[in-house]
Amino acid sequence: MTSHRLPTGGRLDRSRRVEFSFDGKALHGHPGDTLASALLANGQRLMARSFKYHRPRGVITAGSAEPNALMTIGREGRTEPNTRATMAELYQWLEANSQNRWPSLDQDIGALNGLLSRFLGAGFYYKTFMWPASFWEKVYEPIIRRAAGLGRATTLQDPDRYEKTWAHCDLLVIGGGAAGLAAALTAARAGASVVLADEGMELGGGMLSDPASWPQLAEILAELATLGVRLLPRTTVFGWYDGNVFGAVERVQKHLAVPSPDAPIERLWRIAARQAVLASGAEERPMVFAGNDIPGIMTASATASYLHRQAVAPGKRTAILTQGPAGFTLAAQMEALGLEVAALVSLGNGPAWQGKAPLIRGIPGKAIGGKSLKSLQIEGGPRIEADAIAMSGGFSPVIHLACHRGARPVWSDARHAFLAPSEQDGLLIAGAAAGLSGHAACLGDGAARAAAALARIGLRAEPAFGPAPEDAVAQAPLGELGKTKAKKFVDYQNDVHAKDLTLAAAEGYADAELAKRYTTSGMATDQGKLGNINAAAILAKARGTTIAAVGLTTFRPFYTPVSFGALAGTSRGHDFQPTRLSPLHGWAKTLGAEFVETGLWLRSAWFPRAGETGWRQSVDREVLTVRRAAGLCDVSTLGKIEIFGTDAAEFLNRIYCNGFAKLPVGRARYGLMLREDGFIYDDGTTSRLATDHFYMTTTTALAAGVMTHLEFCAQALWPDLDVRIASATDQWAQMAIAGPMARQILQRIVEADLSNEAFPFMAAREVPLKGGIMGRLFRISFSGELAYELAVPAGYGEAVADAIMAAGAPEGICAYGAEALAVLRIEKGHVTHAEINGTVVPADLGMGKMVSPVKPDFIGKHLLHREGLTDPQRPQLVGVVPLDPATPLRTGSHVLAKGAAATLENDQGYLTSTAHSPHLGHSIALALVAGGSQRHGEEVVVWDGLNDAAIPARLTSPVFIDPKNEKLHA
Amino acid sequence: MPDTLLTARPALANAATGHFGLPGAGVTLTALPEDRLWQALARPGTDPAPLLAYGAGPCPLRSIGPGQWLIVGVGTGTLAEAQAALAPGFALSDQTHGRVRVSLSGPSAADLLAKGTAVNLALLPEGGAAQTLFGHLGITLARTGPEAFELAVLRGFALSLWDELILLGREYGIGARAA
Amino acid sequence: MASLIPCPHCGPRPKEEFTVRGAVLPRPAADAPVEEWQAHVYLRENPRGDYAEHWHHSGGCRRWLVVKRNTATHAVHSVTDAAEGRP
Repeated sequence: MTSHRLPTGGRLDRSRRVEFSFDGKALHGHPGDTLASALLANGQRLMARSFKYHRPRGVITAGSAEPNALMTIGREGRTEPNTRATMAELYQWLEANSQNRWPSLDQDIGALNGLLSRFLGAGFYYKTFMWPASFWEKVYEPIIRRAAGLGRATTLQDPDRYEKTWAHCDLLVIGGGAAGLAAALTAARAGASVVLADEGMELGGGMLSDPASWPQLAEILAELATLGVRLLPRTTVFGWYDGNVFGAVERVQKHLAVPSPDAPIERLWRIAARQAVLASGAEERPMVFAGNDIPGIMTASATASYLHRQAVAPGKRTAILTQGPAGFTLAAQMEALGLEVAALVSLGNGPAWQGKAPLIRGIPGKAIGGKSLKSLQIEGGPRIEADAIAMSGGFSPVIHLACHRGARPVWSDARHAFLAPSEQDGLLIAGAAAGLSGHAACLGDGAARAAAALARIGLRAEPAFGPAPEDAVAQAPLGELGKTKAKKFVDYQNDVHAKDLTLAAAEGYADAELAKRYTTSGMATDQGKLGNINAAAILAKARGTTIAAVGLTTFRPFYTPVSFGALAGTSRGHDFQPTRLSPLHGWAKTLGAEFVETGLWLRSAWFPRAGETGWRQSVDREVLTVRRAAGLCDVSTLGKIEIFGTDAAEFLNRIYCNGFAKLPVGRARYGLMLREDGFIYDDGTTSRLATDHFYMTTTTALAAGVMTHLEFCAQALWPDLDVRIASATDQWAQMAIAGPMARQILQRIVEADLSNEAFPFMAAREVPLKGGIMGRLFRISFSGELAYELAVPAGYGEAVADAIMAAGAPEGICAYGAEALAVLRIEKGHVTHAEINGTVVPADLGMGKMVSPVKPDFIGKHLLHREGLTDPQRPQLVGVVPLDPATPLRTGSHVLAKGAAATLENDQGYLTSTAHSPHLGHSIALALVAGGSQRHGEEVVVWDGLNDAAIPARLTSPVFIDPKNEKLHA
Repeated sequence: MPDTLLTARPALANAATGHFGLPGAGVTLTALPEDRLWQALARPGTDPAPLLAYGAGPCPLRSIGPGQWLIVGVGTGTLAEAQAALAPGFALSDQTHGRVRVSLSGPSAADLLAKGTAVNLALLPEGGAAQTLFGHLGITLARTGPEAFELAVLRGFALSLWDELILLGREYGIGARAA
Repeated sequence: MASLIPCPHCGPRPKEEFTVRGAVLPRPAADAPVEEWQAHVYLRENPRGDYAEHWHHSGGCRRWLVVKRNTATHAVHSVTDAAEGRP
């Protein structure tokens, strides 16, 4: 293997060697190389096997549109498949591996597919895998799935960090070539805030392939830096979104051998730009001729890029295919560098040619070679011995972003290209992206466009460059060249050749969008950046219409692939979502609590003690301690809302289905909040602290939802009411103190009379605590015991909880968690969202009498009495106990009539909550059962489908303890 | 029982402190004392002048939405006294323990904030405030100096915010310290 | 990815700060027939074109807003406070 590196030139640091490997072979390059250029420099032109036919492939481009040179880069958790070698910067010890080949890139068994190619044409999946139908799932699909895709994603954890950020600017310039640089300079000189992003590792775009313009490039970049422009190389702007927000991904450390753990590997930018200039350049089109995919064939601009940026010659003898001046310029440059140009093949008229290479008028007939190009047969002309071809098939402006928000590309006969509308709200197009050619013309256009963009937001800018004439452009032929029936590739990445498209057209899939789905032309990572234009031309010819009439498929984000990591940002692992900690978290932790996630909250679930071997033991002990003595439970996660205003009572009267207008100051009331459709939304207690001041509690789950609901009612429904709402959930540490001893314990720290007369059931008042703070005390009970809830400013929560535990030590007070709380409330028949499941109305829960018959209006009143919601056979809340006390009941089990088969028709309801009641010594359940309120005492069957168990059980009252509420009022 | 005064425990009492990430002092993160934070809610149509006059004293006001402000920092007088002075146009909700304030300062403070919020910080004047999301978390963001900001967050999320700020500040070098 | 909604109180903010409720529909009078309530709760237009929706600036000022926008082009015509113009 011989070196293709030229002895001088390029934008390389030749003083440093960068070691890397390809398929295990040790190679080296220099800083300034891409993986593609370094492979070429090492003479490695075979870089990949094609997707379907496993044909040998080399690099076609030097940029982001590369369809062939896709590799797996990196090792272990950093392994990244399908990476374009043209965009990957070389770093020390980079490991690259080719894909889609076995056993090796050189000897690939899959190449046999080429022999089967007559069966692998357009739509072959649809035609081949039809019969027998039963084969699809078991045979065809697994085979296809195994064959699909190129590289394999790693299953190891990605060790790197990703971040997202926002930026705001007057002008975003997309593309750092001549037009973009001129636009940024123009805007920056006018004092505008400017962001300039370019996908390449260096700013400069096409100027980087033109050494004559390097001094000017350096000057512009220096001035941009001085003017404070935010320069973002290695940053792909991938989408244009509503509100003129652009999405971009910056490859912050992808080019480093050892990324720092203190910085992200990639950063996702959301750039809110007042105006933007799209200066994304143009993509050179490949020519569609037989053998146009043999390694050694690439675009002329790719050839120029490798020559000038990395001083790499693509071959020893290069044939140049061109229509118009681009190829002539390249030929002259190559000869000036002492490289041999085998022939300059001109497809049309070109400028005068004085070089050494023979000038041939003609079109390519067929390229000949296997893993490397050997020669080029001119149609009806000579055969040229060449190991490289540089082809210039004209240019396609890169207009993707300009079409992301609905604009359609329009064919321009003058430019022989699809163009996007050049002026849209917030976005102007400049330079080659607008169809222009030549650095001078692009500089002038970029400057003018920036000035125009700034004028739209009232900023005056003097163009940094004046207008200049364009280079001559050629209208290269599109579509198939040459008469041979051999494969002429249109979409390299998907192995779609010209015949696939004519077949699609013949079979009725000639619409651009249909042809894409039928042939896969324009799919996958490059989305047809190179091929779509030729595909459109071939479809146009097949349909006998114009390319303008065929059009292109829709452009959608992302412009190039974006990693999941960048999209996820920091939201993974421990940081997937924030954790919300109760003010009593530390207190619970000290007592050894086990925690359970409830939404974002961590709630103490139970408090294991020495000797307890399972959670049930702890929970049973906590429940029995509460029933016998007292317990303290953290209920800080309940939603707490302060409601102020002279109309606050009227407001609550409209929010709840039961009355609140006459709630006295100093009292709490249980309330049911309905939705407008009549179903229960949430429940909780609301206390009146002053005439115009209420304190509402909601369930933990719907704290945010209820707040939003109240705000909607206050702002959008009844803005005439004076009602003001503040969330106070985090202000208060709230604890339930429940059990027959609760009063005497609490009395030791509360400096107010807590006797039943002074502080009866449903009393709610501010009380002073010993130790010098005020708390809010509510005599409410979820457990069914004599109970209080005490709210204290959150920072004091742990101190107060400690004080209560100390005060209750003589009585044996215990901390109890969410699990014990659940058992206690099930024993008492109290409901949660397991029962309030969005399909129940108050009467279903036995709370029909709560609904005010006199209030003229409240949310949910008007649809509550519909026929279906008053049906006596609706599912209603009941209790369920197993006939055999040793049999546990499971939540979600269904209720069947005795002897009925377990069918949907026989389903009578289901168990919403179950618990082992240590008080009763057996399993109990709450259930919603058809007509259940009239069926207490009936024997039924509880069918547990998961365990296929049919458990004889009895329906009961849902209240298992203290049905007369004597404990509550004690 | 208890014989001594109850003591409050700051939400960030156990937060990580020290220097994190790359060398340098791009950002300094400081937990602020939990001394006063009241939410003022104006009756619709109320002239805000009395509150603004009140706020002109030692307690800076942070506007968090139409008719709503946070009164933050050290001041004299109790909430009850202030409520009496401001009634009936304004109601006060004590959030002293409900929200936790931290300050973020240094040359890279704005860059760090841009990782979480879409507020255009260049347009946020000194003394100005914005209620916004920082990542997943709601915050009241105020600019307290050319390179200094203050963030108020729900108490339950204070540790999560603290940890996230440190994570996002590592590339600038971040020093985190208790008040 | 992202898009900006101009909150009349907070300025342009990303859509992640907002929660959409749905069409702006006047709540029927308390004595309206049940059919009218039925329609209010269950029947919705699904227009291609201009639409007025209630959006909540849940991550910002927590005001309910009326967002008039085009469902086809995503153009936002106006954003006003929901209480505005009400009694």
